[in-house]
Amino acid sequence: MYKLKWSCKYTVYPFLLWMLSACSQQHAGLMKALRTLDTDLLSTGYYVIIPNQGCEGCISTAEDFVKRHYTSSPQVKYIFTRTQSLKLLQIKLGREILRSSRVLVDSANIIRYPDRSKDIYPMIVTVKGGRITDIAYQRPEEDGLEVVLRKE
Amino acid sequence: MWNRLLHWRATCVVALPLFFIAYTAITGCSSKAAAPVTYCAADSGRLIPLKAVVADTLQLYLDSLLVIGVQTPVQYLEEENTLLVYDGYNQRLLKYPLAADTMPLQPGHIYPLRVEGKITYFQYRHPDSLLLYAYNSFQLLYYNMAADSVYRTWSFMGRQLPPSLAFSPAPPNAGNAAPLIFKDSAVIGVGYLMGEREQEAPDGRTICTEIHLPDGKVQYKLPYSGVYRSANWGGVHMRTPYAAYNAGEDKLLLSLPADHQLQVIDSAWQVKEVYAGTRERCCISALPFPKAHQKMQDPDLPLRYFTGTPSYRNIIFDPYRQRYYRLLQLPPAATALNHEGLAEKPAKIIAFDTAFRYLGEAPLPMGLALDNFFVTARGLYFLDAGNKDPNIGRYVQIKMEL
Repeated sequence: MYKLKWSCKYTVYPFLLWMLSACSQQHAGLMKALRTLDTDLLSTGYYVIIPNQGCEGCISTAEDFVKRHYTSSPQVKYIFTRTQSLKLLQIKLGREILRSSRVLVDSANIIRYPDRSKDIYPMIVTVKGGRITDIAYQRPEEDGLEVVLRKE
Repeated sequence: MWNRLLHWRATCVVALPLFFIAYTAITGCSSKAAAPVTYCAADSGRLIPLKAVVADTLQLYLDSLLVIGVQTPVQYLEEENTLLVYDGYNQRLLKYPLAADTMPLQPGHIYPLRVEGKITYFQYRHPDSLLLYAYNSFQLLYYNMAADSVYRTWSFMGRQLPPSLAFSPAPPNAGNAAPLIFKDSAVIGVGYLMGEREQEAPDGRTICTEIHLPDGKVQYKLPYSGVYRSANWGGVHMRTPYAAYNAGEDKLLLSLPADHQLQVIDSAWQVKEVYAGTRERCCISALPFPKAHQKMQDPDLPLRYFTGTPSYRNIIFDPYRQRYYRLLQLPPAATALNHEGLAEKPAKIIAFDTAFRYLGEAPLPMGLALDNFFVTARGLYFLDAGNKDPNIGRYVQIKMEL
């Protein structure tokens, strides 16, 4: 019993703390970008980040999702990144959607994907307690938007 | 006795992994090295330097629904001196008369079309035959603008075959720089598939697809040229074929990025290779490691590699001056590279007569959308990608002083 407590105190707890800090450090850049883009940062919710180019089907699925759900939940915000033309975005989404406070445009391209190999897919970032706790993608092998739908 | 056994065990525990690491390091590295493959331009005569200047600009007024981008399909109609622009986001065809005096040019007509799918190429013949290529379904649609409907569909996908390393035909990636070729009884498209595999059979990786129009039969034609039979070309940008068609001589021309030669194809699919490269010193290098190397997992590597080596691009037939223009892109200066090692590649235009006699070459201005161009009696026009006005589409005329 003593040994277990000792091990928790000196090994397990520090390890868990190290894991937690490692996770938050891993996404520190992304969190900083979200803070820069969104002055009214979600403490708990989802950011759906949609690139301009990449997996065409995945991106059009995400754009269609924005059109249907952008008013559904205040805990979900949408960010368009690597956008080449605001006019094109307006043509694709409509003026009303683009004016919504839940739709943001990363016009300075400050968002960096933690996994560069997946920057062709829409990325769904889960935030809890002001920290990024999970990242999913909308891609052929994964339905990241399903996570958002379940929580709505 | 026990001591000796323990000593041997300790030796094995330490030595075997060390031996394994050393073996892997030596044999692994040697098997993953690839002999460098480089193709240099032939010493085929004196360089004739030309000057390409921006001689004229056309400004098209873009309404609130229209964006003209790098890949926007366009077609110049000589009889009417108009430019047709396909609006893929709203399925419209806009007709701009180019003879108008006032800039920006306003669209004379806007035709809404009832089509679905991603249209990457069109060819207007008559109001009752607008030919549209839908890339997502690899279909050619015959559209009647008077009736607002598709009245005939042809598929570029033949008999469905399981994926195979021995046979990987590419359906057309039709666009302005890789147009569909319409003949009396056939339609031909050129395209490419992404990726490269060690075990693939070069002959099975064809880049042309022909539909025989009377019966819709599909045939896959032409593998990549000889330079692609070995080495690792990155699987993407260096695999893109560009095409032009000289209807008067019934010649299909293919320009492949890694090949200084052009493929000239006659009506019987006989291929003649013609040297159509720069007269400057220019060597095109393949990636210095095999296709299966783990470095190929880096998604940015193909673009960085492509940026760093010369590559050919469009082949353009100018029927008004009976010339061919071939575009060559060169690696940018090291100082121009961004933090990802990327930058726009400076381009050259090389001119030939219709017998492929070299006429000269000139650097092109930077910032041109090389996939968005058209040729008129006045000259060769490219979309100016540097234009920041979202309500104007600006085309610049490139004049070569021959």
